[in-house]
Amino acid sequence: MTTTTTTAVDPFVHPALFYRGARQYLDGTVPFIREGLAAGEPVAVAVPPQNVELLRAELGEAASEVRFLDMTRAGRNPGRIIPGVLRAFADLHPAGRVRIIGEPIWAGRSATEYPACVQHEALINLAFSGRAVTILCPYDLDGLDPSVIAEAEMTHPVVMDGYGQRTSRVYAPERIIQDYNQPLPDPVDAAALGFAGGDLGRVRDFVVGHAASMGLCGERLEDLRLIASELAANSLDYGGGSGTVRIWAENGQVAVDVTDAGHILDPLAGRRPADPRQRGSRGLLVTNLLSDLVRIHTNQDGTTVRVYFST
Amino acid sequence: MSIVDFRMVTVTIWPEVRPRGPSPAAGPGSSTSGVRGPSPHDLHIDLTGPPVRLKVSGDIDRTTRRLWEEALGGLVTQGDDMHIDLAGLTFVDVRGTWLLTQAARGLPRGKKVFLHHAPYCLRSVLALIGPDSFPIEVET
Repeated sequence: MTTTTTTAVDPFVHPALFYRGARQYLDGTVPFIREGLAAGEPVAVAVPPQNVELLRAELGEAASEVRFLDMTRAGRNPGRIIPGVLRAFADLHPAGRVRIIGEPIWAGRSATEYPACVQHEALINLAFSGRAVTILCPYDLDGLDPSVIAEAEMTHPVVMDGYGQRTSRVYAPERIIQDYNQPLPDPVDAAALGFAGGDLGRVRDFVVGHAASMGLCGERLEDLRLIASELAANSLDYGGGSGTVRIWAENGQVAVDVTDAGHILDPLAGRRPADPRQRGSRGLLVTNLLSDLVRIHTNQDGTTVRVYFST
Repeated sequence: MSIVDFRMVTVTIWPEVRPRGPSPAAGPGSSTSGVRGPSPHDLHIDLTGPPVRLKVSGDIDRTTRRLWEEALGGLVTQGDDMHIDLAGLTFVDVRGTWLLTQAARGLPRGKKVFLHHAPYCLRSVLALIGPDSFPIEVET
């Protein structure tokens, strides 16, 4: 199985690989890696750890030329993958084509995580449009629900499987972005605090006090304190000058959300690496980089940004 | 030494190293000066003689950022190595850390920012926003 490397329309190539079992996985990925290395193209592989091991064993010595990442850690929060994994690698190699295998959706992703995963897959197309990058995304036909596979055809312009490669007839990433921008479910037993200008210290104290009582501690507690403060500051700057912060325990995690009257119009907000010299806001980017999961609902009536931290 | 109290800010300034630019008293929020007592989230910045030029304690956030920016600006104007004692820093937001990187960029070639006792909240964000791009030495 080989992969198209360029198109006349857009140098960005984003195929999905639908595979059953290790043999099809290797048949779909190893030639992609070897072709890249033979062409002198930088290659990164960000996949679940069992597939990292599978590929390392198959590649042998060539594995040392590939940048491997455990996607279940680096991409635990799907909102982190574009800035923290894909662009972090691609931007290191601005000249020539870069190849990446990214497997952000694996069996075991929760129903809470999945909307962020499929939104991420759709947003990749916007984030890399015009760039000489190929991102191959494996999907496990045996482990994933058929609805996940159906939506992968909507987020990837090209799909590959055991029968070959074809153009997706249902490619529609904007529809996925729009359809998954839904109100987030109301939490059970959340503590809430309204805030306005000058209250950021109160917001931090409120979140730290509750999160600590739920078992979050050390550096992760400090990370959550920072994120709560950044999200509340965004409400003051862009969300009408006030907001509400809520915190609750959910499935062994600490969940925090901030709701305000703002409307995030840029679908890639918080997913672009920031130029160190530019003043712009980095609050949402840091939120994506540090959280275990970020979910967002935004429209003309207001915005909720919800983050999850594992205890 | 003069002590100036603002709504969320207390600053102690040695007159000979007073930061450049307009006084924070002219900034937003200063009109409510004196409406409340000290808070654990206040920012205190002492400008002192060499080698440590700034001693920072309290929180740097949207409310207190201006004082931090002006104190850094004063040191950039001096154009020497910038030693900052952060032992008392209890919180700094992303913009506050970014301002530190911009101060480092503003120093003459060969000069650096030296951070003493930098807490996790600053080190973690510094690592995220471009650790290799700036002449900053973090004392460990």
